Amino acid sequence: MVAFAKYNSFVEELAEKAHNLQSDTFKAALTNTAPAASDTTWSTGTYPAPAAANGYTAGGNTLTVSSSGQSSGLYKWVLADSVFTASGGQIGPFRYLIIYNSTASNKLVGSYDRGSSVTLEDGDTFTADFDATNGVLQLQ
Amino acid sequence: MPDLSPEAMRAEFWSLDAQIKAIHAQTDPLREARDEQSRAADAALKILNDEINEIEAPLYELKQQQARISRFLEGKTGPAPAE
Repeated sequence: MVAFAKYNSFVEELAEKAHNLQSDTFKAALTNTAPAASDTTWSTGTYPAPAAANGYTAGGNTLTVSSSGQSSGLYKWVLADSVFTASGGQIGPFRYLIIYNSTASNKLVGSYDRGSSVTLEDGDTFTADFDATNGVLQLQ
Repeated sequence: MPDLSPEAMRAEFWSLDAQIKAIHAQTDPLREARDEQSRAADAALKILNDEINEIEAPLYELKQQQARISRFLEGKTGPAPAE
């Protein structure tokens, strides 16, 4: 997986209890619009998404937190991989994957850039392969 | 010219102390009420969180397995089967 880019507001919101990385509902949305680190909230206005059809769910995929814990003072936020499958038609084009907190009024967490736009054809899958060892993000 | 005598400074010190305590006297009960509401909300949320966690316990391995298959097939998983 390519590098995770956090949103600027995320660090302050984390410090001020806006996010519970263990229990809140986090989602991964696709978009073809480049993220700006200064953005604060996910919406389809800011990040136009594929149509909610052909296997793409409005708002994107709900993510599963594999672990949210620390060892020797190093915290890791580990997510299960997330699969998008086009079924019955295309999904896209998209280039970026946006992670946001739907429990906390869609506050933005971070994004990934796959480097180029892609459109999933019927039957194709895009897998967000999150780092299972180091996690999506670390705190210390 | 401010009075910098020890007596004046002590008086100023205790005047500030009285102002600080007056503010805390107003907000301490509000903070206690706010914290009590927060604890009650946390307790209610914990019940739902525990239920969610119990149901979703297999989800991580299911998603990892699905992703492994997707990578093995290089994304060519095919469309969802007709229901």
